Amino acid sequence: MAEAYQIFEAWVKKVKNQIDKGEEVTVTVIDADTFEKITVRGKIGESKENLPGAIPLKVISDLGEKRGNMFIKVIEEMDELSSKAAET
Amino acid sequence: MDYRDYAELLRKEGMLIEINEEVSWNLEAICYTAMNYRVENGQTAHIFNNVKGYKGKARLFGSFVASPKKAPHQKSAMIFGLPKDATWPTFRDEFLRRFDHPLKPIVVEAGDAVCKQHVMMGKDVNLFAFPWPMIHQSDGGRYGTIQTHIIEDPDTGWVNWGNYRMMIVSKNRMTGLVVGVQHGPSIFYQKYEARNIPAPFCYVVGGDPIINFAAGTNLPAGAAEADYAGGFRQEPMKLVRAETQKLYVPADAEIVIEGVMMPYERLDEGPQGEYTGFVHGRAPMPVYHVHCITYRDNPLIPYSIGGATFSDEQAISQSLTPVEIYRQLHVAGFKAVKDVRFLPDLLWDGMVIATDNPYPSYIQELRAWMECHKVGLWGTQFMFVDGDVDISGPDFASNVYQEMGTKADPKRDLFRSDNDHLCTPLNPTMDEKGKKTGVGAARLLWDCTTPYEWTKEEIVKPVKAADLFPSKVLDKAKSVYKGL
Repeated sequence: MAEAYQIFEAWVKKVKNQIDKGEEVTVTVIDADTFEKITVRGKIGESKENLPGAIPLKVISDLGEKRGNMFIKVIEEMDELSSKAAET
Repeated sequence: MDYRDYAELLRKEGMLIEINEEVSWNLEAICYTAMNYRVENGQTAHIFNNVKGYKGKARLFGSFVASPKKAPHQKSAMIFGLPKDATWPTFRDEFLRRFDHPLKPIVVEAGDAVCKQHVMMGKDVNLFAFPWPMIHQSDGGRYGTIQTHIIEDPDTGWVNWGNYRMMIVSKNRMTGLVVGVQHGPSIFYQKYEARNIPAPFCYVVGGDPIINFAAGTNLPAGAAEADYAGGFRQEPMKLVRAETQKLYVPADAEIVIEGVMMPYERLDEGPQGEYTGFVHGRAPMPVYHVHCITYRDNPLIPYSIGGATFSDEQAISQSLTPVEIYRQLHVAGFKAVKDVRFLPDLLWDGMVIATDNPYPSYIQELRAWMECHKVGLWGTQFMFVDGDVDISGPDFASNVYQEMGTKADPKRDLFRSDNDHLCTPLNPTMDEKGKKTGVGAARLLWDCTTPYEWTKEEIVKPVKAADLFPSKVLDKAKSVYKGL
C-alpha cells in the first residue's frame, strides 16, 4: 500500500458529486513513490477527520502543477479489468 | 558496437564518468545530467551504477550522446566510428556516403543473443524491475525516452523502427504519445485498429547506438531502418526473433519489451516536459500491453531530458536531420545548397540552409519546397543564408544570427505562410483545436540571401578582421594578448 497518491484534477471532477455526498468512488490514482497507476475503490475527502486511516492524495493539473491536497481512504485496489473501466 | 562497447570507447577518450554513490531514479540522476548539459556542455557521459533500489540490477546512462552546442555531432561522430574531433562536413559526408549503402540484417539464434540472458514472461512481467527515470517533477509518470519502437505494417509487411517516448503505467502496461503522421504507433496502429485486431510491437532499449540514428532518420516509406543501421555501421545488424511476436529485434539490445497494442483502448499519457521547453499536457493515448521482457545482465538505460539544453535527443536530431534534409534537397535538384544545420538555441525551430543563388526564382523554389516539408511539423522557422556564410564551423550559430539581423529586410524577406500546415500537439503556438486536429501551424521563412538581381555595387561588403586591421597591427595585438 502506498503512503501517498496523486490524482489529476480532471479525474477528481468526474466523481465530485459522489465525493460531496460522502459516497465511495472508483478512481485511478498514481502511487507517489513508484508512479504506478492503479484504480482503487475508496472514499475521498478534503480532510481526514471523517476518514480514519486515510492517506494524502495530492491533486495535480493536466500540466502536472500542484492544485491542492485531499485524502483518500482506500477500501480496495481493483484488478486490471476494473482499472480499464475506470480510466479515461 | 553495442552500448557497452560505446561506453568503453567513451571511457578510453576520457569522456565517461561512473557514479557509484547511490542516486535515485526519481529526478536525482536527471538533475545531475541537466547540470552536465549546462556545466560541462554535455562533453562527458555518465553511468549511474548504484541506482536506488536497483544496484546490480540495472543502470542509468546519461548524456550518452549529448554534445557541446558548437559541435552537436561530437558523440554522434564517435558512434559512427569517426574521431571525436571530426568536423561537421566530415561527419555529414560520411553519413551521406553510408546512407547510400544499406545492408540487410542477419538473423542469429536465440542462444547467441545476449538480449535474452533473462526472460520475464506473462504474470512475471514487471516494468518496475527497471529504473525508468522520473524526468521532470511535473511528469505524469516514469519515462523511457530513448529507445526503438518496432511494428509491422499489416498491409505490406514493412517493418518500421522509430524513436518514440513511452510512459510506464503499471507493471505490464505503457502508453506513449502518438503524433498523427508517424508510421509506427500512429498510421500502422490505426490499420490494426480498423481491423479490430491487436498490433504486435517490440520496444528496444540499447543495441548498437547507431540504431537510434537509423530509427530517427526520415526514410522514405517502405525503407527498413534495420538496413540503414547496417549501412551506417558498415556491417549487418544482428537480429533475433522476439519471444512472443514474429518481429525481429537487435540481438545485443539491453532490454526488449514485447506485447500488443489493443484496438480502441486509451489511457492518459503525460504530462511531460518536451523538447520545445514546454510541458505537454495529459491526453488519452493507445495502450501497450506487455507480455514479455527480455534483458541483459545489469542493463544500461539511456535517457534524455526534454526541454533541457543541450539534450541527448537534440544532439541526435541536430546531427542527423540537417544531413537528411541536405540529402533530400540535393536529390530534389537543389544542388546549389551548400549545407544545412539547426540553430542549437532554437531547437527544431531554426533550420538554416546555406545556398548559392544560381538563377532567378531559385530561392523562391527552395522556400516553397521547405515550407511543405515534414520537418516543419517539429519546428516552423527556416533561415536561408548565402552559400559563402560559414554554417559548418563551430561559430555557425553566431554567423547565422548576424545574417538574420542584417540581411533579412523585414518588409521584403520575411515570408509567413497561412495557418494551414500540419503540426504536432507539442507545438507551443498551437491552440487546443490545432493540437487536437494536427492542423493549423504557419511557417516563417527568413530569406537572408543576397537578392539575385542586385548588382555588384549593391552587394554589401562584410567587415572581417582582415579588413579592419592591417596585418602588422593584428600581429602585434596577438602577441600582446598572449601575455595578458
